[in-house]
Amino acid sequence: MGSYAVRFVNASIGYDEPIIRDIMLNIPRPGLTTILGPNGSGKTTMLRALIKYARIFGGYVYVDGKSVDSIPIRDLPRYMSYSPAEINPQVILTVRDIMRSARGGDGWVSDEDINDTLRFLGIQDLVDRMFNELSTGQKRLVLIARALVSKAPLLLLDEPTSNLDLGNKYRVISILRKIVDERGITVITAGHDIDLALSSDWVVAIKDGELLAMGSPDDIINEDTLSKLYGINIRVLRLNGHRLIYVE
Amino acid sequence: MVGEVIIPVNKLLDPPQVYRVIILDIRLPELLACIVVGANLSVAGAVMQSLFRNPLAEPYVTGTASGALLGALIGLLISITSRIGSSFSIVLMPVFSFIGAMVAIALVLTFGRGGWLSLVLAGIGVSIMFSSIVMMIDTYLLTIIPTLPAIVYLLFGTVSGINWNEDLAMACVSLPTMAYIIVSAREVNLLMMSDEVAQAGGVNPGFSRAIFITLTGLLTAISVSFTGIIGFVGLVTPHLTRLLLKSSDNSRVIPLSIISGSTIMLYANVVSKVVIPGVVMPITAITSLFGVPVLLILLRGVGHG
Repeated sequence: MGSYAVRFVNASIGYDEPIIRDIMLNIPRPGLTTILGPNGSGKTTMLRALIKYARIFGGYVYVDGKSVDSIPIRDLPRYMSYSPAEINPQVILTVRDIMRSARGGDGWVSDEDINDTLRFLGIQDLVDRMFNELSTGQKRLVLIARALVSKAPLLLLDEPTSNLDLGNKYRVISILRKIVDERGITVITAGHDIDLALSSDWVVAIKDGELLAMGSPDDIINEDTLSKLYGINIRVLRLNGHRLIYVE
Repeated sequence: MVGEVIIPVNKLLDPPQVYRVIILDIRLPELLACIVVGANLSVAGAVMQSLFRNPLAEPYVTGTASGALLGALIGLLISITSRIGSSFSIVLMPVFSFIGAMVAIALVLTFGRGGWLSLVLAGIGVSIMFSSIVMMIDTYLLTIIPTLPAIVYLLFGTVSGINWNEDLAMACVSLPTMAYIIVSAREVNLLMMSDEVAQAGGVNPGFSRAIFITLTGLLTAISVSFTGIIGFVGLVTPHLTRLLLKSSDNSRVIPLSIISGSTIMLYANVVSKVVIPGVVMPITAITSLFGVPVLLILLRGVGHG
């Protein structure tokens, strides 16, 4: 097992044509990594490359030291689990049914694992609730639980905190930290949330399909990098160890 | 035992010869056909609605049934006009019906990619096109063989005149197909959620969707080959089942759809015989009468997002 959970080596990734171009990136394990970038910069495409849902035009993408090209789709659950920003809203399933649809390396997950995971995340009381009747925050936690229950060493979460109120957002962030710190899992998220990036171990900044910077939150969440990333004048004030971010 | 001849219940245990023939050679094959066709169309509808994430998808609305009917008629045409002989129609009709169903679904998926309404409109277009060709072939067949009323019945959608061999052929195709779908219901659930979720769960969405589409084509084709188009059973039954279960979990919806679809078809068959005494109405007239309001309610619901 190498020290990197994921490696992008001169990788060009996209669908009909490349969106991400010639990217070099190593994501360490374990830890929480957030991919930040403007809309259309290719954040989700990077996650999709890992689940073989985006095409690799050139270079290599490695998961756990193995090229994703060489991993058959049926074996993907051994290496990673994935949670989309949302699922088909017509789905009328209980939380238990949603959890039962997860697969681990050894096949469909067991009821015992489902109960353990929901308890670990403190949402066991939702188990018999209808997923479509949950609040956005509860849905996000259930989708994270669904990703976690497969016991994969790598969790890929697309926009786990989008459209959440402040309370729910910090609940999700603290749960992601708990998953990384207590279970030693690598979590990679893609999104726009600066607060999630600040709570991460590593931050990757992507702009126009190219790697702008990667480093610790201190390295990335600063005026210079954020202004370049979003193309506007961003100011970062430090106050009692906290950052106040605003647009000039 | 309802039909043109009403058999008293007290005669069922020891029926006279004439009743025995009616029961064994007419009523029981019809009963079995209702069960199999109701189950087939309902399972096909439940799977299509999940695969396309479209509450309106089903064999009739997507034009699959029309393609299957055209294929079945081509099979019949070949068997009665070639040297093979009409006895081979029991094989040729389902085979060509399956090809017709797959052509129809391929056309609908090619031209109906723009969302739920687009799929339905493409289905209507394909249905009209295939129905026109069916009318031409039907007219031709009736011209060359005037004593062939069975073809007309095939257009209407009915279980009248079905025999044990045709029931057996339907059961041989339907049972293993439905068994595979039930065993793989969790894969259908993954495809219902999203393609990325399915792929990350170890299911190749493109390949898996193609397999399930083929199986729904098979269920539709084998039903249409012997009973014609029976509309809206595939639309209504899965929705009623989900309503009963309060869930869209296909590992429960699909098995229960088999029971509810068969039951709906059995009731529709009875209603088709008693609505005008002495006249057997096409079952599709009955199922459509109850199915169209459901379609309109669903359209309204989907239209409101």
